[in-house]
Amino acid sequence: MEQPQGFITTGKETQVCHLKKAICGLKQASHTWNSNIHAALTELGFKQTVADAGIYIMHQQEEDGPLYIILYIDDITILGASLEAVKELKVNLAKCYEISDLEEIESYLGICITRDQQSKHLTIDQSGYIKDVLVHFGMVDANPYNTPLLAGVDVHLVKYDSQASVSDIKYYQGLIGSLLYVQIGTCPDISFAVSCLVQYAANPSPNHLCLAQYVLSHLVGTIDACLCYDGATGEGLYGYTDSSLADQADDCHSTSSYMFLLVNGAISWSL
Amino acid sequence: MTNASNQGIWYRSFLIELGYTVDKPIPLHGDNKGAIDLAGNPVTGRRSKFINIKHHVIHEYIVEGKISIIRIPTAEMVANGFTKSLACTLLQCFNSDMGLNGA
Repeated sequence: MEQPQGFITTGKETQVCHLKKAICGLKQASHTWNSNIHAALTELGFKQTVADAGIYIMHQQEEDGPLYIILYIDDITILGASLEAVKELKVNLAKCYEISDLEEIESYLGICITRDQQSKHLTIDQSGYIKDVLVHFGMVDANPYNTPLLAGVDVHLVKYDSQASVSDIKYYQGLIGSLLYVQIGTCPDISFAVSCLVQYAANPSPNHLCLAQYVLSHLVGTIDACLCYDGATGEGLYGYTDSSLADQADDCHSTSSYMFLLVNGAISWSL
Repeated sequence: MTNASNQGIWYRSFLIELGYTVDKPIPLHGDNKGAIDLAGNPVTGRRSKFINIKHHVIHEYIVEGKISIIRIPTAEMVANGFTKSLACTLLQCFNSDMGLNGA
């Protein structure tokens, strides 16, 4: 590592520091942290799943059922049928790390989670995040539109002939980035609109800017929309797939998409 | 469609790893009869011989009983809203089919 500002030894300016351990901000730090927590979880009896490296399982005695851990960097979500086992795990984790216990889950990565254990309903929404985005882009008072994309919009979805200004590109990319996070989180209804607009992120025309703001205005009306999972129905996993051939007016590309539903709610979608 | 079935296969291995028993094939709905027939019976014809070989893996999944393809009319296709922009009433149907409330 280069010598930090204010701690440069005079006469040895060209020399670098030899680190004895990883410190925050280094590119190796995330890997070191992950190996550290992986070792700690493995010691507690957890096994990393092959299908998803962020998920760990521990099989216990029959009556308690398995314990699951969802790991996102240093955020840990614990799932288990027995509250005792979950509490015990938290005590064990507190021995290894300084942890803050947030009790029952309310939000995860900006997604708000509401559970009703009696009726087995689970809903997820991002109204808090969407509100922040609307405030940031000054669209809180915009008139809500019914649809995320205008009818007959294809004529505007073409490449921009001239060069957009740097500030426009920055604004557009910021807006589209926020919309993408909403789209992959809890708003599959804007997927198609966002996927059309994201293709012009490198050089957006004024029309594209208007359309991106149109999508945001749509979100004003659907700010409280939430994805509901009705566990009482007991519906299994269903997949749906659709495609359209050469539908892009601009470059004749085809679109294909799929969606999986579990207990009557969308769990994953892609296009 | 092969893309979707690959995701289905991932779900299958994930569920098995979590300790669930998955004995039935995962139902995958499609509305393209040509694609479904070709997945079930991969004959090469004059026009289908150009389809990349990687897309034919779906036939293997069907034979092994991991995925089953169900044909539904386009009107009942839930994933319609991902490939075209929908009018207001259709969008509402799309939302309720996905379990998206209040939109």
